[in-house]
Amino acid sequence: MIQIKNLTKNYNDYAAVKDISLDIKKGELCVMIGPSGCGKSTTLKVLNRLETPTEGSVFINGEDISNIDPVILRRGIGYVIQNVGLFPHMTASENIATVPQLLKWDKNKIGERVEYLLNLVGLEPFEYSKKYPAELSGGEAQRVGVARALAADPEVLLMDEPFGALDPITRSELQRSLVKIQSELKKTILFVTHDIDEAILLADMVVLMKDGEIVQSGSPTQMLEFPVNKFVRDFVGTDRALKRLSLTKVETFCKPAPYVSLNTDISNAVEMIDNGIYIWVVDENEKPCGWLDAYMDEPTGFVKDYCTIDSFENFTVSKKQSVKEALNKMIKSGVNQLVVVDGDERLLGEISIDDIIQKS
Amino acid sequence: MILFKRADKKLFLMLFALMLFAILPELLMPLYKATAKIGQDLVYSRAPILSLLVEHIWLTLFSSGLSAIFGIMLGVLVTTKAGEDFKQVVTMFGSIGQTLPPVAVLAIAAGFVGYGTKPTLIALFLYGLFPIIAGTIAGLNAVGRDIILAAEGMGMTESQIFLKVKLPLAAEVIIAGVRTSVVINIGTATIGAAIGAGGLGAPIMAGLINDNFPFIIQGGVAVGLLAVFTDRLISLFEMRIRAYRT
Amino acid sequence: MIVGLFMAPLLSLKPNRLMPGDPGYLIDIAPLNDILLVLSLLVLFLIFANLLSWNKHLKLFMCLILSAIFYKIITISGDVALVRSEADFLARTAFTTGFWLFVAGYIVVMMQAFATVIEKKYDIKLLIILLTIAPVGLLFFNGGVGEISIFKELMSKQDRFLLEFKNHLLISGSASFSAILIGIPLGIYSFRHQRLSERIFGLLNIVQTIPSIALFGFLIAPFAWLASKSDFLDSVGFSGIGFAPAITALILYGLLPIVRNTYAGISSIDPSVVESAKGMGMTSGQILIKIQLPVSMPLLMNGIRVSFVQCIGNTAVAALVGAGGFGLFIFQGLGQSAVDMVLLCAIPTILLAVFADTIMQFIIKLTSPKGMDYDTD
Repeated sequence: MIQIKNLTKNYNDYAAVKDISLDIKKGELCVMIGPSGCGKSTTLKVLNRLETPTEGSVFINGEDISNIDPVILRRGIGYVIQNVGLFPHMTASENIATVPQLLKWDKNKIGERVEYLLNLVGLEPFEYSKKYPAELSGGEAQRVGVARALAADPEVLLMDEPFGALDPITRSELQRSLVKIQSELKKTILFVTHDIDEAILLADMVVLMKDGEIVQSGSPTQMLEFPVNKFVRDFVGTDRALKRLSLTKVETFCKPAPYVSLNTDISNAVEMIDNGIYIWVVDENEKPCGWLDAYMDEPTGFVKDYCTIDSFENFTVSKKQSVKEALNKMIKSGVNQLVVVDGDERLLGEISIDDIIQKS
Repeated sequence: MILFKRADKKLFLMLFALMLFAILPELLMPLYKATAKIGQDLVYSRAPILSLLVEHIWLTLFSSGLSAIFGIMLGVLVTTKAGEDFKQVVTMFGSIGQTLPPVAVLAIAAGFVGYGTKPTLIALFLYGLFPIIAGTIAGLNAVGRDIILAAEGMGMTESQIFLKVKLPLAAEVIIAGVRTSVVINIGTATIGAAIGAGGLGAPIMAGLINDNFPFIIQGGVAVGLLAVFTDRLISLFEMRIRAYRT
Repeated sequence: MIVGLFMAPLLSLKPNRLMPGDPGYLIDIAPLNDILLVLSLLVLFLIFANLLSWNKHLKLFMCLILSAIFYKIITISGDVALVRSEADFLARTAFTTGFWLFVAGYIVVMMQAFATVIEKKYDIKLLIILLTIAPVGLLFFNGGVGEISIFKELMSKQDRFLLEFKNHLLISGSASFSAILIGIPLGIYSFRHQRLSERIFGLLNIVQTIPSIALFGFLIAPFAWLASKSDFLDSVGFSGIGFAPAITALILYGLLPIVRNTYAGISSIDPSVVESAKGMGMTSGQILIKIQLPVSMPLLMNGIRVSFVQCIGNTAVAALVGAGGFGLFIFQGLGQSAVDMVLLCAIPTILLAVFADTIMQFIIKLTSPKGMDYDTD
């Protein structure tokens, strides 16, 4: 989709970008990351011709962008920047409608599009469409900014530290929204940030830059597992093992676990515990609801009379959650293992801290 | 002298040109000869340009000085707690006052007080008041609430806050108001010649009435140089304050 | 109560004496029952001002009382004038210090009262002007008032007055309009060429600094010379005196506020706004028309306001180079020591300037884009 070939950009004597080559596949979210002044923003701005390369060329859909009129090119590329840059004299709707209007879309079509986009970015159209930028919070403004960039349904989206100016809570909300939007729209996105956690969370491919050169590129996992040098190691941080766990799903470490139903006869259950020290208990829907300890004096009756039922959400984790989250829950609940459930909250198995430590 | 360091060259050049021209208006003789009608006097003779210049400076300094004293006092007064009730009126007065045409103010003053220096001084004083009041209020208002809060938090008294925090921070805007006032007054004082105030307006007026262009040039060049010089002098002062502050 | 304090000096300054050559004090010239009426109204006014200042709506009532006093004083003067002019055909009765002080106080009280009642500033000025002129206007056709000298002066010069009024508007209007036409593009140009902008501003600043009368004077010779050299220019009425140098000087004067505010308006826009507009594929023309100009509109219009109001004042000076307008009467009156003639044109000039300012403030509110708070004062 996007090919950057031997791109070099000099400002007078200073080389901002040195001979970079990069391929971004269609539908991929590529995050460019690096310390400030590494040339990541410059590279991004070359793509919509806000910067002119000193040498090298960029191809979008196989076409050299230097042959496209910058105005036409830019109307086909969404652009989101850190300071949002909403037009202060236009409402949220008018802001979003800007590019479709430039492209002379039909009025009704623009109206529908604006409504769809406001919904997409998580803003209630009725409430927000008539608001002016001054009436929006930082997070809301950037949501409008994202909607505005997506207005003309561009194939390519350029995002220049879009969440950099937001507070941590708002930032993670917008990151999650972006993940959701991307899973729906599958745009080709070039995303610039200096926040490694953001990169790991969002990226299909991470490009780490330093002094105008690419130090390493690849999937987030690759980057965490096999950093090519000390710079990358330092940049991804000393907690990269933990970061990797945030990329690993619980199902990777899930193993089958014995369980009994609430209505099982207690003596049968005791047999099943056998060499273990506990057994999970599920209700009639196979939803985990407690556990049974092995040490009981002469039990009679059913499992439900003996089972320890607690606020059981603290002991379950979904298979889609990250291992990091599972670990977090174990520490919080003070246990060594958690029940793993599937999408219907049915018991799937268990995950234990020992397995995580041994296998990762 | 520390106040004026770099851009002084131009300033001193202007001052030099002004003084030179005031002493020797004959310098532009070729121009006079080229523009004068036959038989006209070439150099304004009723009074030497230098004395007119001194008169003009005196008129402006005196009136603007008074305006500055009263204007700043009034501006300061209404920004204190005691004067808060009058703030709106005085602010409004300042902004409406600035829309008044100077000629009209001058003419009305002449209508009441008669001709000569007195009505001119009164009109200049009144007219010069408005930009200074407006500047003082704007300057004091612009001092951030947090800064004052911080000063209060440090245990400064009301008067300490005013002298050590508010006034220095507002100084730039206040002086900008004074500059506007002085420059306008130099111009208005020129028109004052129409009601017999003297100053550099006299040759211009005489030139306009008698169709004598050399007279206009003599008065105009001198008063123009004076205005530009004064404007530059005070704006340099403003710049120093800004530089000192940041 | 502070309002009361504020008014105390005002009222003590208000002897209301009318001077027909000899000073005529209100007490001497007015019939007893009129004096009593004015006094009782004054007492009532003071009660309202001192005791009831806490109530905003009563302040309006207080203003009405003051207006009534104003009205009464003018009628009294009118009657006096009528009697005197019937007795002696040449006699003239003119307002003097006491009356004008009263008017000044009247305006101040009105401003104070309305400032607390109405929040929006641009309405107030208009209202005060209306309320101040209203009694005069009402009384204008009422017997004696027409005999007061300033109105007599107006009657005798009615046609010239209207002509110069038109001239004044024409000169100010066309000069301001041209200044807008030149100033806005120049402001945009100086924003785009930052290096040149310093020179442009330096030059315009010097033009603004030079006293208006000197600038008018400077233009006479070159214009006369041009007219003498070119038959065409001469034939279209271009000459060393009159409209041509006046309008040229007024345009030069009017440029700085417009250019400066256009520049400041465009500069004040957050660069990210322009960057995103560019990144969205707007041409520089579209950015200018759709983004930069609308966003900087309040500042730009404020520049036009300052320029226009200033131009009305300077037009009065332009009379000195033979351009006409109210200035003509003002300077003529000054030359003849005819106070009434001076006032007759000085007051309308002031009113015109204040009125233009008020109208412009209103237009600024109208043209300011929604969603942006902007205070012009």
